[in-house]
Amino acid sequence: MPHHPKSRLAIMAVGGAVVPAIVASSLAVPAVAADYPSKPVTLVIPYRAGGSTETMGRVFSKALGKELGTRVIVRTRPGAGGAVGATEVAKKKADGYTLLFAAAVSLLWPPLRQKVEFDLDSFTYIGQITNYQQALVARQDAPYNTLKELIAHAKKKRLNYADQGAMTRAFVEYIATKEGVKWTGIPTKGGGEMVPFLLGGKVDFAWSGGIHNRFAGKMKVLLSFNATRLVASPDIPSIGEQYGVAMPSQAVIVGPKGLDAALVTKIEGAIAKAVKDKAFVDLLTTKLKFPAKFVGHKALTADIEKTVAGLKQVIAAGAK
Amino acid sequence: MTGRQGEAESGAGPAPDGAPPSADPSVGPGPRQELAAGAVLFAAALLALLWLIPNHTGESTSDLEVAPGFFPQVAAGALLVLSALLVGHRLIRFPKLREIRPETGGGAVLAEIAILAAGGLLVAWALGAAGYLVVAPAVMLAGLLAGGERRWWIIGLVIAGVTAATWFGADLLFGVVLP
Amino acid sequence: MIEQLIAGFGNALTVTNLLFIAAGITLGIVIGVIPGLGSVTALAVLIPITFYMSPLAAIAFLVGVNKGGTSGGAIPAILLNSPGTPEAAATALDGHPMAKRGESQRALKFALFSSVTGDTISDLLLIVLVVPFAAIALEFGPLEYTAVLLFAFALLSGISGDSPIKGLIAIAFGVFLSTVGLDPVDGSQRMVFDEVELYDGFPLFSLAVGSLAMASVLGQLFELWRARGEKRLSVEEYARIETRLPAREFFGHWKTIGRSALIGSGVGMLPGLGVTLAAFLSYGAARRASKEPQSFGRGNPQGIIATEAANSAVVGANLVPTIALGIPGNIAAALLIGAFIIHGIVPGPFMLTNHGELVYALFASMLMANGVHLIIGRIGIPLWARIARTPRAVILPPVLVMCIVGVYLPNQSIFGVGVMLAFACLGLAFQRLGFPIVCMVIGFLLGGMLENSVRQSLRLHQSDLTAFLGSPIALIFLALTLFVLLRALRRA
Repeated sequence: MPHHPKSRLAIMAVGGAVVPAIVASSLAVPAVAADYPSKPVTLVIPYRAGGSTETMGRVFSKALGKELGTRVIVRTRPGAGGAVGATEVAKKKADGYTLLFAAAVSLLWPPLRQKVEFDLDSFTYIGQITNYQQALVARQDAPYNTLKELIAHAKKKRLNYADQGAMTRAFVEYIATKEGVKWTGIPTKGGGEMVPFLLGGKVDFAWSGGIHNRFAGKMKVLLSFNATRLVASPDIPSIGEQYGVAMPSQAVIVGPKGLDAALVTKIEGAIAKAVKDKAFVDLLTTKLKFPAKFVGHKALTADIEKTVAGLKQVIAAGAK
Repeated sequence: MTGRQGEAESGAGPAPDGAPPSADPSVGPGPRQELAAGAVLFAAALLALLWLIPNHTGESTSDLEVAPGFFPQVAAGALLVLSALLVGHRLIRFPKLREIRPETGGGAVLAEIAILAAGGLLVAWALGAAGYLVVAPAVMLAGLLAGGERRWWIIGLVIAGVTAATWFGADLLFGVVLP
Repeated sequence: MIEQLIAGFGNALTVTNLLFIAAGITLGIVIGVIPGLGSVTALAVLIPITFYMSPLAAIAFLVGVNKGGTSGGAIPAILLNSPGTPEAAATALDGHPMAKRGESQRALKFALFSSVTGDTISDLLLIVLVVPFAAIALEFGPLEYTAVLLFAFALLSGISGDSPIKGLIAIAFGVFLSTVGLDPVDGSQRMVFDEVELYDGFPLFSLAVGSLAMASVLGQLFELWRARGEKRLSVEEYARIETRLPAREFFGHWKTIGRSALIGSGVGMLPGLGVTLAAFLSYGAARRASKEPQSFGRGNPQGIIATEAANSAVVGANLVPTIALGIPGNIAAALLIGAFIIHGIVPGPFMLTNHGELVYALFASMLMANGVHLIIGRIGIPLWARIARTPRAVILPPVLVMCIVGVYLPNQSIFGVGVMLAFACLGLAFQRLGFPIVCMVIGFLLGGMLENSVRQSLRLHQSDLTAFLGSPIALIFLALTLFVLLRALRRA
């Protein structure tokens, strides 16, 4: 890490006299964190301006800036479902001045299934601030109310569903493989296209990234794609309970790999406080209908590892 | 705004007595350039069909529908047929067809494109390497000089004004720091 | 409904609200003038500003931005032949020749008046149709979109006019370009050479601004260079310039205005088709309906009317699916939905029942915004026209820089700027060789949509073509497509 020698020198200068090298290096770490942040921090958001993640990130950046005591500049860098922004941050110096706010999907799926210039170990997971509410949904008047009934229907007749990209299809197909049914994925470009297809009866059921929360009374949830149940539908089981795998649902703040432990602690602390910011909580829970759910560095890193294991399982099942 | 522009250009512009078309339309490239363009497009479509699409599109993954390469093939195929038609037309009915005459000769067109391509590469590279504050004035200086502006105070004013306005405008209004 | 609307005006007609509308429109126009930045970018960057406004003020402001941003693109298209957004490309076809004749103010007025009229018609349609429409929009699935897009292709292939082969070549080339990127169905790479920035395909704005605006500006600069500069204009030379546009003359084109506003509204109500398609369909339709189609592209004001009335009509109609169903009609509407949500309003089937008061206040604001738009736009015209009097050698180089900034801003991607420069080269080559570059852009735009719908349909109906028989809407559009093609063949 390039900043070590410099800060070590600084310590020695402050200490004045002879400081044993071994002490110096152990002291150097807090010293890096001590003067952080000394300049504005850039928060890269790899999605187009105006979307829910970007909106969340913008409001969050204000709160984070307040906690860190510096300006947090938001930089939108959309493309390839988040992979463009992730690539950019992965290549940055791990000094805590470039952070990324993204859906974990954007960091985990591309290295597994696409050719990208970052891999699963390219990031230091600092903290999670919320969960996406992903679900399998159907029209309110559909003749099935649970996943079981849906599968029973699928055995009688080939059903169509709307997916939103390769990973969502992989998960819906995973269920089909496990249950021995066949159904057809129709690719749609985001919730805006999925909703009319579903409500207009073009498809029988659909994957939803959270938009179904706006259509209570018109759509019903059959399954949570998260590891746990959804906030709005606590009675509906999750794919985690039923099949032991889950889609990445974490909205995370990460830095490039090799971020100094003391820096991680410092930023993590600021995030923990910033998620309690009034304006942010208000936007998140009452307007966007996301749960404010902070998870720290250690727990998040373990959670991500578990998610990756599940992803690999789903991909392996699809390859057969 | 393309072929038509040529004609409009030679009419009354915002500068009624300025900017006359430089090249004499009668020596304009017309059919010959079209032949060349058709041939280039034909070759490009052939290249796409024979090399690009087979080697750089995915395999079909579903028996329900067409392969990923299908649409590129249709488009490239259409391009192939149409450019062949264009070449054929020009060869058979050479003088009869309406001649769209770009106001520049074939060499001039190639020279323009070459200058642009080199300039474009330079700008794209310099934007990353040297940053906006170098590139913007340089681009404007080149443009102003090419346009025939020689009064240094106008050049200076335009360059300084526009560079500063866009730089601060981007930062204040859009929250974007230009490279 | 009338009472609700009156109540809406009661809520919306406040000084602050009017000020926010005015500010929104002004900002929208100014941003729209910059090449590469249209209403989408304007909305995206200005939404955060509205976080701290009241919901109504915020939405009135954003509606203003959307309207201003859509009409602002016409200004550089007319004055400099450098359309800042793809939807303004058709405006340049006739607007710029008019400006060259010294009628730049008239052209700007035509554009503004058509924008405002088209917008008003579409707003009124929105207010009347928002409830019944919800049912129709849901009938549109992939099959219906496929049929509509085929119809659009058939109409647009006639747009190139004088040289159909070249027009078709440009369209085919554009369609081919649209297939670069990750495959829309299985996500495999298609001609992207592992370049992650190409995964989403060529960025539309880079392609459009490069090949339309920048290529045109560069072409003009090269001409100036060869002409060894141009003489400065003295004021006297402008004595013969015609600036007047009496209302009677404008409304004399009522047929074109009405047709274009209806096309724009129709396209706007169908989610996903977008402003550019509306503009070109309307231009094509006006040309087709005209007694002298060859006058189009040479400064026929009907070309401006058709384009501007249609693309502004999309703005209002786009809110029909947004409000009735919660489905964004296009990216701008999607951004508006985002803004609604931030302000605690959930767009969707319940918006009218839960927030009826606000929705009608929104309708009222939209109608008021049209009046404000007219005033602000009218004040602006002499100012913009002054640009036309500045020597081109001085005004064009800054436009080049604006193109770079405009394309860089939304995605902050140097790659995007590089793509734009590449397409500027290509655009100039096309222009010099007489290929209609506009057709390439439209082919690019529609090609992606068509592939998407076709492949969705194939999967949905398991490649069974008889599925078309089950959809009356699709059959109607297929019949229209055949009709257009046969008529074109008979003429040729």
